[in-house]
Amino acid sequence: MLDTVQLLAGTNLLLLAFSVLIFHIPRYTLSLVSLALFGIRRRSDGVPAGNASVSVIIPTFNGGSGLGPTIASLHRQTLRPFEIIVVDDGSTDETRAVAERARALGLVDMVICHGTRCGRSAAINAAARFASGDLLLTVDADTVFEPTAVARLAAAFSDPRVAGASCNIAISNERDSLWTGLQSVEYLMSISAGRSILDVVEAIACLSGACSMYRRDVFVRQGGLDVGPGEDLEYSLRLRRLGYLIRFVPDAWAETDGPTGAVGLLRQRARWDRDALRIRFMMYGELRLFHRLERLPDTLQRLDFVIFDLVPTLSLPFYLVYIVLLFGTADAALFLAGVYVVLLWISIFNMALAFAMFNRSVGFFGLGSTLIFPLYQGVYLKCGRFFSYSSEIIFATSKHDDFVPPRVRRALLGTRI
Amino acid sequence: MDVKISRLDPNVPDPVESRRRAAGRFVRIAYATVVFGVLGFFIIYFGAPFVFLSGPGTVTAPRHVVSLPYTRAGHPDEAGARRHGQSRRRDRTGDFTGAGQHRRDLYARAGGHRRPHGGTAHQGAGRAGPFSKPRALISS
Repeated sequence: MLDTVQLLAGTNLLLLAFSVLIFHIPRYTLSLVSLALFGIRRRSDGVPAGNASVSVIIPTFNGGSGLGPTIASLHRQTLRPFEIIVVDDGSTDETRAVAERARALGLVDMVICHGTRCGRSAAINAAARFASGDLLLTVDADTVFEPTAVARLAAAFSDPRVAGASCNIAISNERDSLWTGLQSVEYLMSISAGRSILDVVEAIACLSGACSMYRRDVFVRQGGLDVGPGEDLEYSLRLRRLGYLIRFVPDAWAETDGPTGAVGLLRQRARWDRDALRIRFMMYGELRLFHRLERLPDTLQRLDFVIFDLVPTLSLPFYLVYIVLLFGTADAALFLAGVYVVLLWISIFNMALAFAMFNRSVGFFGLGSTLIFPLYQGVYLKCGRFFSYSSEIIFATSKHDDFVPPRVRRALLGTRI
Repeated sequence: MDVKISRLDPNVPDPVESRRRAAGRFVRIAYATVVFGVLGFFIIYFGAPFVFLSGPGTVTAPRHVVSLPYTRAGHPDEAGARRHGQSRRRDRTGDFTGAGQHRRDLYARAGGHRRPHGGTAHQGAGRAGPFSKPRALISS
């Protein structure tokens, strides 16, 4: 321990700072400290305009088991949805029967069935054509809302410039495994804290697919969601590029299931990361220096991604080589252990602040997750992200994303899949 | 519902063409080279110590050269005493004494049979790797 401290003390400060940046922690420290010190977090008004009519769209593929709780939570809302539309996207399980049963009970207004799987975007776009509310709320079939969530989301649309808003997401099965516990902490950091500060500077980049609300006329006029992978991010960036505002509502809470295993988690993140890289850089050219019509918030949102996500991820292996060459194997391990101790303290500080600010209780399980959270976020997810980015750059692997049905990919990409 | 869709706005990427874009060939090759270079560095750097490159070696030689009874007919005690003495002397000077050294002593005593016909003798198998430590000096 003493050796570690001595090594850290004798280290170039810039080297240490870059280590901390690379391992991903201070992004949230900056957010949380800003939120705590200045109290600049935006709060929704709580009560929306009384005439807001919300059409809820629930696209689902083999997600019948989650439909019941989702629909029940929608019926508990302080602002009752105008209508609920379930789209069965070619499910092979009992999803259609569950949806039809809910419709027979009067819990659902419309069930749209696709004979074969067409993809999430096509399902939502089809439902949007039949919806008649002013606002569209797209919900995953495993998402459960708090009673005031829809009302708070709808309140964000009192500003006519707002075309989309997303809610705050927590993990509902956080006690199922270590991985879900870690995801719970991660969501608190990256979504609750990270997006709160981005919302203040109007730099929200992505409306979460799990629960987002859109202004229906804008949604339909702009052609709805694209059918390719990463449709939620693409639509959010498109709205930004067209001059609309998109918002994050931290007081509107929803819970969704996270992957319970390490491999499932990596697969989910690989899909998100590949899509993010493709959409941001290859479609929207966010690495270009200047953009026509770009405003300061747009610059901030892409800088946020480039500085805190892209650069640390891609430089991680080169940095490790540099550390090994600089210190030698044994001292490099010692140095990285020292950095981990620093990160752990920063991480504990972050979490304490986040748990207090967002009124989340932390149990024994959460405390255990805290100790390995820097390892999870700074090493495990970072290595996975590096692999995803690299595979996307070299092999364009998002073109083979199973999330989009193969026939849609063939039609969209015009190549053999 | 009769809504005019304006998806092909010039300010946003084309929904099909932009999806078909990929990183340029130069970027892909350059990035792949660098990434696999880093990967190779780590494999060599951390893998080298696990590769056994500095063992005592193997000896292939006629039996009368390497087998003890053929080397000193008679006076086994003298030979044993000499070996013992050499070992002690080498202990003092810090020289390497081992199976290879013993075989080298045998070659020396065989006189003129250092490279016997039909056989080869090696001291140290394989070649030194970029990160291997220098071998102990062997004197004979």
